[in-house]
Amino acid sequence: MSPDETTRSAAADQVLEVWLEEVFQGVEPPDLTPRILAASSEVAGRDESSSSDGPAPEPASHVLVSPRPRRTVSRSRPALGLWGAVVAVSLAAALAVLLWPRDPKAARHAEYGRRSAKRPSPGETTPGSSPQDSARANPPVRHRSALPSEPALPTLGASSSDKPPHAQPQQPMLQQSVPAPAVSVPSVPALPAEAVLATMERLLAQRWQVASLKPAPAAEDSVWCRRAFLRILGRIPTIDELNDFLADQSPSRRNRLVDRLLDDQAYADERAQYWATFWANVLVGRTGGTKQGSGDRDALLGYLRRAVRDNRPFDRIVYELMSAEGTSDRGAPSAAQFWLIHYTPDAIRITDWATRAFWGRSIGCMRCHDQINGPMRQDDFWSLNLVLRTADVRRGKSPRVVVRSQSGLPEVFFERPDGRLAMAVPRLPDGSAAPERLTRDLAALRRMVARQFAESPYVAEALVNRLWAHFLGFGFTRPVDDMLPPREISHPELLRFLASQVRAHDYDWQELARWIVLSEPFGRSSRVTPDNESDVPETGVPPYFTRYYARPLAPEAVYQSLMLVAHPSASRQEQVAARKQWLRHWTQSLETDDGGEHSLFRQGVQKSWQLMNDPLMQRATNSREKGFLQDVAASPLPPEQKIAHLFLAALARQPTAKERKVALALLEQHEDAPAEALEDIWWALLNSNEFLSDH
Amino acid sequence: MNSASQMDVSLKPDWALFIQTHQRDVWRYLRALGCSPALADDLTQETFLRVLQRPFEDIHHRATAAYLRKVAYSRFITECRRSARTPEIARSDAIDRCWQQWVGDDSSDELIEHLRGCLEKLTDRTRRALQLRYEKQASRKAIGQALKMSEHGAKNLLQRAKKKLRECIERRARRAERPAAVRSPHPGKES
Repeated sequence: MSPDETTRSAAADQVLEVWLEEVFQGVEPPDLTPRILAASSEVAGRDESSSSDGPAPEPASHVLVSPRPRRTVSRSRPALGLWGAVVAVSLAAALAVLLWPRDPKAARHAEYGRRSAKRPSPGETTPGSSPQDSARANPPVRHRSALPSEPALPTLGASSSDKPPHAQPQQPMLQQSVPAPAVSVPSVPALPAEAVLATMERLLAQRWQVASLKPAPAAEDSVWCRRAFLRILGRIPTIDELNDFLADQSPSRRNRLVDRLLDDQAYADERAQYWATFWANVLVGRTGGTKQGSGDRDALLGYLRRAVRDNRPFDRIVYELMSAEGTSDRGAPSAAQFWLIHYTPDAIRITDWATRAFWGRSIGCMRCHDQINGPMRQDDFWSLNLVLRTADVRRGKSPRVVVRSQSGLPEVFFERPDGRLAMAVPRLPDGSAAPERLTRDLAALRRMVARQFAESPYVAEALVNRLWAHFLGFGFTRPVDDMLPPREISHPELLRFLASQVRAHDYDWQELARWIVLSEPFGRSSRVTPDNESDVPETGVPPYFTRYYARPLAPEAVYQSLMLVAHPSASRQEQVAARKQWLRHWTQSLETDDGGEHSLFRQGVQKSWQLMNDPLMQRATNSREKGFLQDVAASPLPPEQKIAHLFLAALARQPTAKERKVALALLEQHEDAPAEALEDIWWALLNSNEFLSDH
Repeated sequence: MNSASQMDVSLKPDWALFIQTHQRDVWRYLRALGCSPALADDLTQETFLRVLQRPFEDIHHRATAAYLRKVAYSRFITECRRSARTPEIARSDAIDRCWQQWVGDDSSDELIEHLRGCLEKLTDRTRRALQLRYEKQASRKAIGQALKMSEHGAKNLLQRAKKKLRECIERRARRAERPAAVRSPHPGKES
């Protein structure tokens, strides 16, 4: 028996022995109520008389503070003293006689049932309660959702139709703290894409007018096409795809291309692969789940691929990830991997990542202190953290998520900045206290928490902000996953409008992607003009979206684009395996508790140098290897067209006169070995900033 | 406003109910930590006084019980130091964990009931040994003589009995706490 087990066994024996003494000797715990009440009255009387002599003493530092001390109820100050003590003792004695139960347990539950029934119902506020308390009593209204219904669990509140229109706030959801979305979210009708685009345009134009800005000219079709491919499929278009698009002269050619990229079955695999990687990076970072012993990134990717292919509503995805659904077998697609990858016994990591990924609220700092200049309290973090401590992980060949083995939620204490210790109170994501029944049934609690996570109005806002930043370079907040007030939101009306439409369209995030790709800013040139030169979010000011913000490609997009020209015939499995290997070079895990990582794929000498010498780059620029360059070199095209072909493939544009001249001169110099000259041109193009940027 | 003036316990009957609801658990917990009955009385009183002097929100039974236990534990450690006893922190922590595991959301009354039920299941001889030990405070030697066995045999008998009781209590506690089936939104996918 280990020392730990010995201690545990001795402790259990000690508890048991005390109980055995009680059973055999018939010694029951005494009723100390009158004694305690009398002593309490005495202390109160003493304190009151001493309070006139000076300030009240500070509480001792080792004494625990009660949960949420700010919610104090104001109490009157009656005259105490001997008379008070006498009244207290007689009252308490009378109460003790009346209330002392024959069956203590039954009486206690009956009385507490009555007491809790007296608590204000949702929507009702008690006199003197703070607005925040009132907000907690009014959980957000449930919207139409694809989530599974669970009649046994409490619902979040009345439907929006139950509320009078004048009760709808003017600016819902943007000014709330976490985790209590205090106001109801108005439900709006789902608008057709044209109406959504028109409203987006109007709201953006209003901001431009106020700031005296004019948008950049429209981007050329070829440039726009490259962007659309890069942002929807994560790679540049092939020459055929580009030419097909340019050959289409209809006014709706852009709509048609977006429809093809988002809906066509021919792109289903690519689309699923790209967006699964995108969401996996959001959920667990680039290194999450790549180590032995933690969750399995590939299994998470498998789940996400399916979700993308089915165009699963985003709130449904959030529910599945947060409820840790599905098998945990290694390799089998499963949403449970999100929990497995972030699992720590104290659930701090998943609290942090889940709120950032799904709510766009970064609350990690509130582990140690209240939010600076904001409404969120340290208690809010720990209350949410507590209800996320419902799962354990059983280690082994295939780690799996299991319901926590302890009975009920654990007790969680945290230290306030002043050194006092406080106890976390379990609160559901909507801010309401977790029902006691759920704190004992952890599987049901996890489902309830997942459900409320998914139904939070923050989900739509965070989704809009994240996809907007993905497509347009900057989100409405910076960073994109920190929308906690008082963080400034550059376009609150637009964010609110799009979030309401996302909800109205049942969290169809691919529809949201369609709106953004067809929006004004996505179709503008990336050039800075005299009319929009003050729109420079790169310097830290809020964006106005008067132009498309050029930015470096993500490593995944660079890899897919290089593969397209280096090894187009590679199977998907080959590509996935090689990509995993390739991406590993560019991201390092910082091995911190919160799963931090460092990207080496930043603009700079190191990145350029590594890319120039990268084996994939070597293969892409080798005319002897089977691939795009070999095809061009071997084709009977005249040199000028070959050069144009290379430019079109890499940069989606024709070469300028100067570029053409230089390239032709190079070909003339290597008349005896034209393939080598083409290799040099191709290498220069693939290593250019233009190729490595989305512009 | 100082802490004393923030409440009027004499005119708040729910404080009486509050104390009545939790005092038995606190008292038994202190006894389990190693307090004599008299000391358990005093520390139970101190625990409630500490709690009543601060703003307090009774969120639900489990949270309140845990909070009271934490305060009681702190009182116990302070008392040990005051009386120049060295508290065995590791052992006290283990007792706290054991308490948490056994009692959990229930009241200790329920556990005592479980214990009574478990005692019924023991053999007469074993029950007699326990009775001699915990009612009459008999020594092992005396128990051995009464049951016509060696002192060592009496020791083994008591140890086996306690082990059986522990297992029985845990089993019953688990059975009692098993919640009513809550319908899963995804049958068969429960983790």
